[in-house]
Amino acid sequence: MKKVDEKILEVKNLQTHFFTDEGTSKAVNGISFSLNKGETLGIVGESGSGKSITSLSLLRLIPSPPGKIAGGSILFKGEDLLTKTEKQMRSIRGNEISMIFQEPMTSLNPVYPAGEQIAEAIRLHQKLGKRKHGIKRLTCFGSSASLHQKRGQNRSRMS
Amino acid sequence: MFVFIIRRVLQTIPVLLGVSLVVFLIMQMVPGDPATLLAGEGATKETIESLRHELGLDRPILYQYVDYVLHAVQGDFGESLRSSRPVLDEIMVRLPITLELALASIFITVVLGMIAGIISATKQYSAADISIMIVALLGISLPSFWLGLMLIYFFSVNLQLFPVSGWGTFSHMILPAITLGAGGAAIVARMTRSSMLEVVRQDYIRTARAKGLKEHIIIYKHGLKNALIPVITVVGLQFGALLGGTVLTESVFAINGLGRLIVDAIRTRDLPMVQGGVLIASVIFVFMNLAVDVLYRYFNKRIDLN
Ligand SMILES: Nc1ncnc2c1ncn2[C@@H]1O[C@H](COP(=O)(O)OP(=O)(O)O)[C@@H](O)[C@H]1O
Ligand SMILES: [Mg+2]
Repeated sequence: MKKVDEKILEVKNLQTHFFTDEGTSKAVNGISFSLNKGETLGIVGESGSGKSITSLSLLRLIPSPPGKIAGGSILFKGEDLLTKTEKQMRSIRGNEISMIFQEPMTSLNPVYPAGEQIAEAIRLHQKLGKRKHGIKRLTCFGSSASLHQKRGQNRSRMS
Repeated sequence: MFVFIIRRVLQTIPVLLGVSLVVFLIMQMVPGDPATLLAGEGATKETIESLRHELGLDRPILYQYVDYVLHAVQGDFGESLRSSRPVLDEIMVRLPITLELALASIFITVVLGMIAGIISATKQYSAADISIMIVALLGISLPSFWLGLMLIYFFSVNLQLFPVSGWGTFSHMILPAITLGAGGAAIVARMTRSSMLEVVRQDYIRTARAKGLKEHIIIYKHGLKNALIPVITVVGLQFGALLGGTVLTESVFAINGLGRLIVDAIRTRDLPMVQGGVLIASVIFVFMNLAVDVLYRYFNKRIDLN
């Protein structure tokens, strides 16, 4: 059995704000949660309640300006992601923490094949031979359904 | 792709017919009768009339037009009224020079414009960005003949770095190419900048970031190819404007290209020469547009051009 109480992710009082001309929008205002190894956590909320911004904050992908992580901490494997350098974050993104975005039509680059784009992240971090990996995955999921399925899985895996 | 190219080539036929008709009709309407001019001052009415008959100018206009087109498709654009040599021969001597000038300018337009645009976009609001945009604004605003004269004044007359006029060597090409390419480079720089800034806000760029890719890979692999799609259209249109621009540039730098040939032909009412010259220039323009469409399709496979 897994050690259930080994914390892999702990978010404490996370605040992500957007500073716009019309004022400050507190998109994420003090969320706290934790996630143990092997655990799945689902975040539920109405549209605009800050689910996506919370997830993007974990990857430090908040568009800045206007966005900014204004407070709190994100402990991943015991280390605060908010103190990491951009270079350190790059080795975490797509490797230890992944995000599958909504809207495959806009989230995928129109000038490259989808399979290649999926393989890109794996190739980047695992230094695998060209293409192999992504193609295998796509075929085992089946073409268009793959994006939705994968998104569903990864999303629950991450948030 | 092959079917698409064939189809586009066929589509150029009505376009070229239309162009030939317009050119033909314009030449009919301009004041001044070629026969009168050719006969010279003090020629008798009879001389002029017989000349008109000889040139076929007394036939019905429609007849003249159909006759012209039927000969033109076989490469026969008639003879120059001035030199009595075949129009096509004269054009073929001048055309390579103009194409060289056009290619050199398009090189300036594309390379300079894109590099400047990318620098501007990736360093938005920096000193480099602001200077590039000011220079680009000047580039768009300055008339090319003025720019050409200023370049000659500073670089040829004062600094004596380049020849004042003429054509033939690499150093002959530089100033005319800058003169002709500057406006386009400025437009391409602005276009690349805004397109790039637009693209980096897209969701797929965020996806690329989420994979942990390095910034330069995000910009050049995922951003640039998308950003260049609208730029290609602008470059294509610029090439058209460029052909028009060769007329001015060739005059300023005294280059014996197609543009100058047409201007001289207009001045001397050398009707067949004007028609042939404009028609050949149009053919080049139409095929440039076609090349742009093909490139466009290559860069963005989603675009359905059928
Ligand atoms: N670029 C932005 N500028 C200003 N406000 C933003 C921006 N992006 C998101 N927000 C705000 O963040 C809030 C949360 O958005 P989001 O996390 O996408 O909600 P959801 O729970 O539907 O995923 C929204 O109400 C929105 O007002
Ligand atoms: Mg959302």
